[in-house]
Amino acid sequence: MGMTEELFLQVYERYKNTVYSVIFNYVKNTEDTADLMQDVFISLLNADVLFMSDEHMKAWLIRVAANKCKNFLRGRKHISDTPLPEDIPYETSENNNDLLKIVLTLPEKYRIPLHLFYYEDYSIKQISMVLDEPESTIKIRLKRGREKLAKMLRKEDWI
Amino acid sequence: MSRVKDEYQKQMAAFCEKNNTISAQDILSRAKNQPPTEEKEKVVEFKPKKSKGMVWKAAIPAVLCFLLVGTTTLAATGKLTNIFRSIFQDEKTAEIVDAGYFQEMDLVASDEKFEATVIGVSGDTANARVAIDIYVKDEELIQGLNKIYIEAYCMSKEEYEYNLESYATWEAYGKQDEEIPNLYHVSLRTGIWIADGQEAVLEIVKIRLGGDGKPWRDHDVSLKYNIQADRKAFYLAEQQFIDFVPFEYKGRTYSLIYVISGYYETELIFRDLGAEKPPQGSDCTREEYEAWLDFIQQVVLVVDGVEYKVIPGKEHFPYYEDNTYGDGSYTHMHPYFPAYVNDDATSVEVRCGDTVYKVK
Repeated sequence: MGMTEELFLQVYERYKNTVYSVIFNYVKNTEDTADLMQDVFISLLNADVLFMSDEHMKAWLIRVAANKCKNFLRGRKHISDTPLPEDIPYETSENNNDLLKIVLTLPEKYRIPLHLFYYEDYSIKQISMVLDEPESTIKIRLKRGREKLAKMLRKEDWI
Repeated sequence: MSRVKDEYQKQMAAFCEKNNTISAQDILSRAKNQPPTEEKEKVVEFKPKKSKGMVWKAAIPAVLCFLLVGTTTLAATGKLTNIFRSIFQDEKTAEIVDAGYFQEMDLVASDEKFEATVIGVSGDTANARVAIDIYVKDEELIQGLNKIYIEAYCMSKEEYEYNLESYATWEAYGKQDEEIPNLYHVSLRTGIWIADGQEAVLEIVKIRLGGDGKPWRDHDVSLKYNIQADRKAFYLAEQQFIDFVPFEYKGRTYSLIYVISGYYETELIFRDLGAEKPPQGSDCTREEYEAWLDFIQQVVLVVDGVEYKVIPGKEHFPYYEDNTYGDGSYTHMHPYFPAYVNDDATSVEVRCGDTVYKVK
């Protein structure tokens, strides 16, 4: 392993929500999120990467999580004869996460940049780097994602 | 939307705390018990970008030669690699980007219908390539249309201000984005101005949208950028001035004045000092044009004993220059030949009939 246990515990505590929320945003169920979450942090334990800063490590984790999710979803598409449903049920019983539910109904291409923008306070440049997409693409996805979200929120009398 | 943002952060954090039941100890235990896997982690090495999004490599010819043998193990050096290689299937420019010659930009110009963003530049110093994203704001404009073509001026700021009418536009077809139908990607070849490091003006003046079996629709625009790129963002095309070496052919004298050895191609520049003043609005008479085309077919570039003819299918046009600098009227022709690596070549010659000029 490339990292001491003590350091790993600190890192996990600091970034567990970051990684969990990114993965959940992709796969939209807690069971697969748990599996992928472990995969991402095991990759970190085994990684031979010199991190320049906390931000660098965080960006690395998000990028690894995003790539693992894409591979996972791609694999699932291959073994399934039917297309994936747009909304896979997720476990939650509270009524106080209505905004979360609405965001999760957005298509993935808008949902992930919006999540990074809202939850991680990431700039367009940072989102472009972790998702490996051109800034102009991210800019457009954010713009259209926000427009779609605003429409949905208005419909739900949220705004 | 700051209320949305605050509420989203709150709800997502609460959701993670409630549903994430995995502890760090669980992961450590699993990592210890997990047998070493054959599969190496393939994902990513994330590195912070340099401040201007530019990467330099010092050992240029060696790097390029290495890339030319077709290695697939090099990490991608940026989004531009992907843009040129995957979207435009422009392997040459992708190799140049891989070697560290590029400059990322984010220059936006827009009007009511379009937003065009210059993503970055690369190429060699004889031929800059500009990657542009064009977003069609009004979706009505692209109903059923999936093709794009643009025309743009590109020259120094001074030429743009005082001599625009002397220049033709650069033209390029683009590709529709696979996911966003109103986003198009364009790679525009723009000649020397941007690569020269001086302040240049790029102005997109026409955007044409079309589709299979549907007529093109023209949109006159003025999407303008002031661009001052760093010369080091371009592979250096070796430019050698040749002192008017005369090649006689069918009663005319064509003087070789430049050999430019670029990454994309080798450009020879010939000048015909005996050119007649061309008809208004053209660069030479039909007879002269045909004489030029005949002549360049006779020219042979010989690199280390290997003979190359002019690249077929490439558009070759003569350019007329009036008596601006006191050395008479003349026409130029810039025939293109295959590229060679100047540092590696031991012998380079230009031949036409019995006349041989040894470049190197």
